[in-house]
Amino acid sequence: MKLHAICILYKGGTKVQTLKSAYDLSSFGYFQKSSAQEFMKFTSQIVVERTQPGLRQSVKEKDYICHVYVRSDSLGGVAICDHEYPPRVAFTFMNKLLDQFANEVPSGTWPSIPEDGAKFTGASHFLTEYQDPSKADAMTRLQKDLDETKVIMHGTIESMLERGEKLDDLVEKSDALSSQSKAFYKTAKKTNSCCVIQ
Amino acid sequence: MSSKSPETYVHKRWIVRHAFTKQAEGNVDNRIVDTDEQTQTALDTEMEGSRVAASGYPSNYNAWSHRIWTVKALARCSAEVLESELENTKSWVRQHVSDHSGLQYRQFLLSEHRQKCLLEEHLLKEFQFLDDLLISYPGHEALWNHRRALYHLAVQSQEGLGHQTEELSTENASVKSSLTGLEDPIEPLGAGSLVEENKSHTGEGEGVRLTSINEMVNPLLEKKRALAILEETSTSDSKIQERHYKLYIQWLDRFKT
Repeated sequence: MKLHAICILYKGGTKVQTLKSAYDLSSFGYFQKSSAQEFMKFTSQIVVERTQPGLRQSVKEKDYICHVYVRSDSLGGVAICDHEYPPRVAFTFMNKLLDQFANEVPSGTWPSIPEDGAKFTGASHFLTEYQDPSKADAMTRLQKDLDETKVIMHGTIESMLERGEKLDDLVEKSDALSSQSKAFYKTAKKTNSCCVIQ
Repeated sequence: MSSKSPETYVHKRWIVRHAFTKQAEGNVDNRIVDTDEQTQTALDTEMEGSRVAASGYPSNYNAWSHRIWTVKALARCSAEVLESELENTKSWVRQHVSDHSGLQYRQFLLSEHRQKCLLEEHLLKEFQFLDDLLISYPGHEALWNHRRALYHLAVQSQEGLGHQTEELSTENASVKSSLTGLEDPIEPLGAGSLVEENKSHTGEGEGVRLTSINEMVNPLLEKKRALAILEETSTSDSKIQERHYKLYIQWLDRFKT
């Protein structure tokens, strides 16, 4: 059961920017690590772009699932996990994390924070802390506030895109992905094994 | 070496068997050879190897089968090894709740217990461990399958049927294949409505504590316990849990003692 990444993003008027992120790349092979990180960052930006404020979604993509929550103040959180990681725990810690972020980093500064530049250590702390949900579970089982909240499920990232939008095009146009990662994506797509965890 | 290549494991087993045969043949001059230490070293090596392999690939059947072979061949299924393996694999299973093969390994360890009272004591603990897993990690087929296997083991133990590991694996296989044919056979109810319907039957709604083998195998009590698990599951996960719960109840109804 694995928590691969936690990302905190701001859904601004024109674009989505990553304020802070933390990654655990231990499950990825040596040569895949940097591409895996880039793809997770890219994916988290796309899913936040496609999530309305106030909503929660879970998107499956091959071996991993992205759980995303965008608050009504446009602060967004993404947790990228494997299919064993309990979604309820992911959404619960995301609530806590975003509250903590909002307390420590004034909202007025969010639009101007450079990419990944927020002065906040909570993301990597939570990534370590919540890697094993059974340790965190004593706390989360008591939290009923999530129970009535609806989570929209998506079988693929593509189902979140607009009509006519293609994931291939978004990958090609993206600044977040290196040319190496884009080439990797094309090859992996042919062999139907994009970002498979070895 | 691919962590799931069967040929690699066949070769590993040949090497181990060969090494121990040579060891026995070589002992011609009455020297006392410390085979216990060597056996322990071999055991530790094979266990670590299969653990690493099991981490590399989800539900790595070959890695876990090799671990079973190791326990049989090198440890002769000694009570100490069965105990320590049950302890060692607990945290693994907690971290890999959809690993069918890891759970089947625990079923093997339980089924190899020669003493009925020891088996029953371990089954009680395993049911409690599983209850917690089912509530914390709702909707995993591997966990519900494990419950079926434990129930089966409990029934066998109570009827004094002894240890039939091969039969049990076949039973599990047929359970798994019969499950894949059952895709939502019942009209889905709104999440929570089944819970409401049955709340009056379970009194306080608290988990039912097991204290004896008779309680373990009683189908009515087992149904109550399964319902208690569903009730304890958080509302956001209750729909997926309900699907597994219903399939389990159907299986219990069909189970022939």
